[in-house]
Amino acid sequence: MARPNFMESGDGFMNETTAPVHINTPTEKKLWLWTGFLGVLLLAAVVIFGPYVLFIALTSYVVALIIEWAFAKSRGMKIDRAWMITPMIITLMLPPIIPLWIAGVATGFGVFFGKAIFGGHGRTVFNPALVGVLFVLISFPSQLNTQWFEPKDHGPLMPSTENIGHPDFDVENDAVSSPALLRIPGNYTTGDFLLGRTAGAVGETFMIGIITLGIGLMLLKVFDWRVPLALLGTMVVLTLIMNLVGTGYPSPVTSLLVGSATFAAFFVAPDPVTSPIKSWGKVVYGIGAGILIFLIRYEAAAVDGVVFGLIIMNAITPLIDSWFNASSAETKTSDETKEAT
Amino acid sequence: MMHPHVKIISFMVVLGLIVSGFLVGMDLLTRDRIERNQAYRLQAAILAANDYDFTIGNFAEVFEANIDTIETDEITFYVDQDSGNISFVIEGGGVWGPITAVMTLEPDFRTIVAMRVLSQEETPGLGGVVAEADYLAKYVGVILDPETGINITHNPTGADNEVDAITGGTRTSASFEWMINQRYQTAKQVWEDRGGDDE
Amino acid sequence: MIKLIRMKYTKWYNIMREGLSRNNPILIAVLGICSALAITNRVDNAIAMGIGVTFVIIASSATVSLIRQFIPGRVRMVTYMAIISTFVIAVQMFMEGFLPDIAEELGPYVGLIITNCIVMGRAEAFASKNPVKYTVIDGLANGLGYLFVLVSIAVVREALAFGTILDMRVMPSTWVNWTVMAIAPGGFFILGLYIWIMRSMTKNYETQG
Repeated sequence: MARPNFMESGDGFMNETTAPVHINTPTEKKLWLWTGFLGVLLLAAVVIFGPYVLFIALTSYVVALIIEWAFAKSRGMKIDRAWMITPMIITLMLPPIIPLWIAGVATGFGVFFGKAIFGGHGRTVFNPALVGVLFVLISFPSQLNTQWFEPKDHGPLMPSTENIGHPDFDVENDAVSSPALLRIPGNYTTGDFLLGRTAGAVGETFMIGIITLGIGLMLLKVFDWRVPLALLGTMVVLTLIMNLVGTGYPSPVTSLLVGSATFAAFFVAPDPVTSPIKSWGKVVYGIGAGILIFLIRYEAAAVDGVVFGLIIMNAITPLIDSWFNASSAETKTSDETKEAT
Repeated sequence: MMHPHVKIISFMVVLGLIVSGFLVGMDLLTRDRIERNQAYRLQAAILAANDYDFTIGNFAEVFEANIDTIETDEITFYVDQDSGNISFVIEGGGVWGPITAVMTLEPDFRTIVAMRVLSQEETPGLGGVVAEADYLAKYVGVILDPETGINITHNPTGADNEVDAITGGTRTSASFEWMINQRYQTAKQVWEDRGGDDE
Repeated sequence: MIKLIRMKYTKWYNIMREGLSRNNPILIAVLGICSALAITNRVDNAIAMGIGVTFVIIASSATVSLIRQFIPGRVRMVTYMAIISTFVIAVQMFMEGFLPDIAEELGPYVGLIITNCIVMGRAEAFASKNPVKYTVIDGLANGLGYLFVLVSIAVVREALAFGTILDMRVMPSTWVNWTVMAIAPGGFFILGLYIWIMRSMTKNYETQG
């Protein structure tokens, strides 16, 4: 019933095509729905932050496709069917004025180390997009943590005609630092938050869109509702308690409206491949992620906490599965799989 | 024929003697140099703060000739003979580990001449900025408030005792501010009690 | 030329090749990676560490080989440990005395050469059974194999993390430092890639069993 040992299969690192695929690997239709809904958020970001975000997305897709193609070629397979989702998530999780090469590094690292070397979609331990974002988050903290900006004050950004790599924007004076914002969320009204007129990453500010599209994906059964509910619920409860006993914490609702928590809860955390299989496992996973995000964001030095929290939960997902006696291996001949389902 | 236990024990004794003899020899050869090197970081920071030219070869002599060391129970002051600038070590906990720095003040015991971080373990690129020369240059000329000390803030109002906080290093900035103020108050107390200027 | 060809079949050559490539302590045996991850963020640290380890392997292996007839079998591990520790402490004193900056950067990792499995492994696997002259070559080969991997990881990491190699600028001035490469996780990625590449090239795959 244990998870498959990926090292034991195949005769070489490049030919590892016999490793079992995760039982919950989404169908191609679901992948397209997932990507499509995120695409709507990207279009909203174009309206909010300006067309520069399209260049970020373009860079991500080009880099991702090159790596996917190279691996498919060397393994003699078709392009991975989930090629479209990782660059989209990465784009939406980066700051809207990030230099394009950083977006390229994030995607390159995420697709290569997070996905391709594990054998492609359905065989990954960590969500590849999170791996990519984590890598640039650690590598380039000053770019990642201080390049949010206020769309309210500036209106949409235009890419500069002279330098396509970076928009016409004064990073020194206008950029907003995320650590400061996460503690003291400024003078935003609820309307600002709902319409995305707040500082934040590309796809993480437009709350109306995130919530409706997220619920839409659950109604279409692309994701399970338990992970987002457990994650966001845990954060609300924790901030509520801390507001009663301590000071310096934002209100429970605000804590969800700034930063990546809501976006990640709806679109990244419930990724079927990297979250537990059984229903109660999903609840445990969501609660764990909520606690970790809260702790890392408010009690530790790392900024948002969402990427770190989810990566840690990804790592212990097999453990949660084993608590609930679920096996994630889908081997075509195995009867165990049917039992586990 | 020797008993095996006797053989083992005598072998270990002989080995132990040879090995310790070798190490004692190494220690005699390197001890002076190691002591010198350990003093280097602190003394070099103090000499640099007071604009002395020195090399790794002669720093101890330059330090000896120009800086008075005044030891008290709580704190050791290093006073420059020409300018009267006073240096002392500040230390405390950062976010990830201890931070040690040397602060040099003018004889008024308020104006910062130089700030140097000797060791820190903060997040590279965020809190780690605290040790970078560019950032520490912002401390030069800051006038400490006798009551509240320094104020490291994200929102400066233009007061004399303000320094910009580190972008993305709010907690490191807060720890650094706390340890400077803590140590400054102690040092000021000790300095005033012993009657200001040396002797 | 003939000499060179003949060289290929000597024991010397084979021992050298074993240590440097076929049986490389890091890439094939995956020994001593604790220090390989920790100190490869700068090339000068890697060189200092590599030379230190090479010296300790040669010196301790030679000593073990020299007295191998006298070491009682039941205390041989303790004996290796005492000999290795002695040389490591000597290296540490030397570095603190003559290379203080590097000693500072290497921190506790010089002392940890004592626990570096490569040193102990060579003493037990090779030095206790072979004459001194081959032991020295074996120690040199393994030490250089270690040094070679350390330096090749450090070149990539220093270039990405600081934009320099041996403190000489190699990247353009607009280069943004990759902080992750300066800390241990960066070492993991680069070491992982190297092991992958080297094993693919030498066709060394671990078989199931």
